[in-house]
Amino acid sequence: MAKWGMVIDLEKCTGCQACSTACQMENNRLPGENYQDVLYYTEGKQPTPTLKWFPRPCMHCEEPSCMHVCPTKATYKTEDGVVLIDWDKCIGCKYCMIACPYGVRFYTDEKALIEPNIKQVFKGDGDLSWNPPYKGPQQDPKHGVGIQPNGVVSKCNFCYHKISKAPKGVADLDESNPELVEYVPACVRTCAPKARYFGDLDNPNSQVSRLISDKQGTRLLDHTGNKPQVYYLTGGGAAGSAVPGTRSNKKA
Amino acid sequence: MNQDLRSLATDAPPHGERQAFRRLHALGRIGLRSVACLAARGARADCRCCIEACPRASLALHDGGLELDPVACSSCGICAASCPTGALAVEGFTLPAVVPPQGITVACERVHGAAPGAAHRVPCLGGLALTDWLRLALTAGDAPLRIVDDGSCTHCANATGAGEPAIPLLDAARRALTEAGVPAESLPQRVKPAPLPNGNEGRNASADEVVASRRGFFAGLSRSVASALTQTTTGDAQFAAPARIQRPRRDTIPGQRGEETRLLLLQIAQRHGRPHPVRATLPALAANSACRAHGACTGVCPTGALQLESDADNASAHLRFDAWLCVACGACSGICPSRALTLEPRAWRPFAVAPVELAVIGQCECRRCGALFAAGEDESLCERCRKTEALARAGFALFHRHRETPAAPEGP
Repeated sequence: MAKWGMVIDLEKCTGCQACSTACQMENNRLPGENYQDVLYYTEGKQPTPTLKWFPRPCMHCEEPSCMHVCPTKATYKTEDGVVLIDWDKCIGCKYCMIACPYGVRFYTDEKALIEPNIKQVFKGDGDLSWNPPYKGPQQDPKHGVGIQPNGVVSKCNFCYHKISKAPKGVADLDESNPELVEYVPACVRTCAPKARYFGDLDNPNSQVSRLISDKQGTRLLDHTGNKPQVYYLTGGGAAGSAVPGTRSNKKA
Repeated sequence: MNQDLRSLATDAPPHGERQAFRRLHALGRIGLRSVACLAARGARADCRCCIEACPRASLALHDGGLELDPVACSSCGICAASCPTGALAVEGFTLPAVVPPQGITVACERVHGAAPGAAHRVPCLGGLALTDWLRLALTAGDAPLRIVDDGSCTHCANATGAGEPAIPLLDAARRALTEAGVPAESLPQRVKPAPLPNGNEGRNASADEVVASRRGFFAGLSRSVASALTQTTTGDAQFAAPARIQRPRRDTIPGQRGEETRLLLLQIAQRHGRPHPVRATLPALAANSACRAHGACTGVCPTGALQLESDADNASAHLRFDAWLCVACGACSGICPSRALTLEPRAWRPFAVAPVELAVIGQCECRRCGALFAAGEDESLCERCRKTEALARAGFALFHRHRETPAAPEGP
């Protein structure tokens, strides 16, 4: 069984937010409620400040703190390494949102960002939070895929409706491969500078594994022990590089 | 809450299909309202009340659902009486609606001998819940409420270490009634059964234990085919096996036993000229100053006893607790992220007239995202935005080998 992971090359990332928009469209989210965003910050002072940024998807941790605190076991980790929410079990207590160190879980009871409230304009049927005019065909509450019902927490699911259909034993889901392009997560597929890679971290020959070992992939907030499955490449190695021992540089 | 299963199954359930009582086993006389079962909901509530109360160990939890051994079960109803949320019902426990002038007489099915007047027979006196006793007392009004006792209850197989199965709840009911102003002579009284016409005083109930009930007898006969029968009868729409809960979240358990108890006690007290009883058996919950209005407790509370509400101008959040709705499951104190809640078990406490306010937490709008949050000292960002900021700083330091503190990140 694969262990899906993502590599984001910050040297290539242009901060264009196409990934956020693709995520929003794929998962029937409103602007500002997308499962992933890009954090910006300025480096240096006037008159020569530089803008820096990095995208923030769910890290799909190997030891997800959100999963361990869930009182109803609604959050779970699949065999292929994806952290998902069972919307049928979630009671919306939001403890997972407090426990997540990356802030990538969402509850949509906040006041609307834009007036009029789009969710009131397109009212959802029954339990669903809204009824988007354009929506994907998938609605899979057991895997937290589709339109979010009222009163539950939602999060990035690595586009589980796509990657779960990928052929078994595939090392990488590469958007440039026409046979696999339909199984690639929306953010990876849409990334114009091709800064994102998606593949099997357990396969030492996959492109993601090689990138992590060759370019010293780092993980955010590694001291929390969550062991994210999303790695960042910074070029020339990063301060406190966090390559796990199992994925050592084979060239060395 | 003990009611006739047949009437419950044929009447349209008031809150939809999941509210209906469904037979736990095709051969048993016990029905489960799975939406109200704390163990089936699984939300940090390790409720084992019915399993521990069952004198014959006929109930067990299996894969998150309650299972009944119909051969061991005597349909005594003690499980239903012990259930804090009223999730169980047993056939044969209909309460009298009309009061004859000589009062109500309740008797166990197995007690021999004629009772004074026409006795109302139930499968076991231990199966009458506190609300049932209060309801009986309210129905009886000034007429006497009598319990037929021929002394055989102590030897009955339904009696556990505590002696007669009816004792704990009957004592609780007596105490609550006294508190509500019912004079001692109007409390439920024990009476000896009148001798049978042939002069027989009646036999010991344990002697005819083997043929305890007709249904149990046939259930024992069909022991070997019981499982096969269950499979074929689950297709029956009326008494299907309990359906798996589709959405245990958010919706709280309706039809609260605590709320029923409160209303009954208020009615009885008002009949005796008191506004309300002085004391009642209630759990207590306390919150200390660590509470930050996360709302995890209100989310996990199965009965809606905890509510978190903002006042009109959003200046503060109020955590309110209704002791009557609380089933003392401990889910709230177990989940509280700031360990602010302390639950004390049921005890004799002042009668809770209205929900109490456990904590008032000042809140303000987040400078960045505009969400309301419980503001600590010198905090202008909500917990989520602070987390984002810390993450941006950590990412900055990690990715760009720059130890200088960056300017505040711009929001997503």
